[in-house]
Amino acid sequence: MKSCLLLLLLAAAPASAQVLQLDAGASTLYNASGATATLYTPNSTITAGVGYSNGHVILNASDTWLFRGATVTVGDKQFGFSFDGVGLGLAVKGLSFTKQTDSTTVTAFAGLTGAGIATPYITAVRAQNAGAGFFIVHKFHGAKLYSLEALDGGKYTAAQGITYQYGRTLGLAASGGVLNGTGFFNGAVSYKPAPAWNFSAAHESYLFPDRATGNNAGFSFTPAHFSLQGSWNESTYRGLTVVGETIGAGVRVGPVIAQSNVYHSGNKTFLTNNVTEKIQHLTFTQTETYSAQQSAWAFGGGYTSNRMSVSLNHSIIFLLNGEGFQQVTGISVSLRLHDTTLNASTVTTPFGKTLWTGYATDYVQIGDAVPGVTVRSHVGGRFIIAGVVRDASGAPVSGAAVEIGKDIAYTDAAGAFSVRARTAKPQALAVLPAVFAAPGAWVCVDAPASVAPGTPINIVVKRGS
Amino acid sequence: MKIKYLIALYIFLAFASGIFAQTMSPAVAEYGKKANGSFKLQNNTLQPVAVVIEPFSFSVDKDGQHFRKLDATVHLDLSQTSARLGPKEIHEFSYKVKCDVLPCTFSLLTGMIIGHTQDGLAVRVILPHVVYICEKQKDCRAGVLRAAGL
Repeated sequence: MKSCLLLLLLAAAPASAQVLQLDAGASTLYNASGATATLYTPNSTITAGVGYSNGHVILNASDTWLFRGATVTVGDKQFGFSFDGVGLGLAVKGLSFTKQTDSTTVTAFAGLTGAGIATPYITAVRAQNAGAGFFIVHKFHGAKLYSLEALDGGKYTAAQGITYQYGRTLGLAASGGVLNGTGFFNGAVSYKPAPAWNFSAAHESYLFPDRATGNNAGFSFTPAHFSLQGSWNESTYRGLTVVGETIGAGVRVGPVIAQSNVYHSGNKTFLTNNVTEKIQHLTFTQTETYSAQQSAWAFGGGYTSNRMSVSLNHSIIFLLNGEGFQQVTGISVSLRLHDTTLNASTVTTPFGKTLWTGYATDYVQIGDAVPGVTVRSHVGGRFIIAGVVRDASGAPVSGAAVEIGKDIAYTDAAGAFSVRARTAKPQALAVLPAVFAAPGAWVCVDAPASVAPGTPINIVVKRGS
Repeated sequence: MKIKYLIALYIFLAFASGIFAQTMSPAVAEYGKKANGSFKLQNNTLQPVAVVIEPFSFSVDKDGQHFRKLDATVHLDLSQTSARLGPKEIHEFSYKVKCDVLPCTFSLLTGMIIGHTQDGLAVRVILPHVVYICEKQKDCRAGVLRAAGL
């Protein structure tokens, strides 16, 4: 393991490239140690890592690059697909790509799937099965359609979903299908009659192998310095129905935030009181949990700045190893020196075992004295393609990104953009809301598909997603 | 033994520092009648940077620098008016200028915005490339400043 780490570092040093990110660490919490080198070049991101976890050597290698507007990855990649409370995580060793347009995002993968190992310093896939699938999100008129199809070993996923948002007032969501071999149906509604009020209700059903259903309804009222929230939850599994209610209130006065919540389920009731004080870089928390006529206290504090963050949490927990209530202390330290970040933390499990994690991250500029690739542009090309980007009201949009042929142009304060062209032939034009320098979410309303020099271009965009 | 490796790893990482800023060079350029020039912008971040270049004429007096729309007497051909710089990229922009009236002074203001934010403010860093064009290149800037009483 040690020799692999040194070999990785030595081999990385003389490489001729731009920026190398190095991560290395060990942890009894993740039960893994290892190191990863990530090379960022103008056209691709290459990752290689080696580690040791649960008695096995783990290897990670991937190359990600842009190909005709799609992000293509060969090697290890971990996916997380989620919509309407439905989530599927997959670790894949193979080929994957993501292509995004203004209205549609498509992600597809094929290769070997298996258990994913994810730590801050190495991620890897332990290939176990063959798998393939795709995830599509399509937006139209305030609605989003989701379609997830995946085969992970012998488990099949075929899930469909839809969400609809009517202004800021009403939100609807529904999804159903088969998730990792389990049939399910979810539905949710949220209603926000005023900025401070929110009401929500949801239902979820998992159909087989065992039927489980859940219903919940809740509300929140959050004016400026005060909050009030409550919810009702019901679940049924194997004929057993459990109902729980919670209600809580909070107040913020200057740097002090106080919050109390009551949880009731069956014959059990919990009361938690939490006070947080934030004074510049310092944060202090005090928590009291009251249950069955017994109180448990927890105290914590931390300091956060650009260079350093330290937190110390002290609490009393009921250990399951026969020692009963015990005081435990958790420490987390993060320190930044130049381009290096050092992190260390501890956590105590309910069985009384203290686990730790330590890792470092660094960005190294390598290669020649010139740190990055140099791109030269010359005053060439006698043709000029120019245009203006405006919003629906006709106001110029500054910082809009437009792709003409292979060039990307940004609009100036007057909404104007221009690129030089060597020929008078028409070139493809695409508006790129995802890389707008202007803040916020944008969509293209009207733009020509191709443009030619000398023809005025008028593009209309609007805010929205 | 483990501690030795960790110390060696830390020393290796700690001394490999980078530069955190966008840089422009040269900040000032002086030319004679014929001005074919260039300037370099360096993106020292690990994220793409959107760059928009806007030319402005300016004058100087004891109150400072006063920008105005580019004079019609300044004929400027820029290789690019905007660009997207990749991580750590150095981008060289070229230009050709002809001034009907000498001396002429203008500034290419390069506005740079890092990344894209869905919520919040976009922070734009503006670095100027200042161009002085005179009959003769030598002491052009000093002559312009002297004429302004500075």
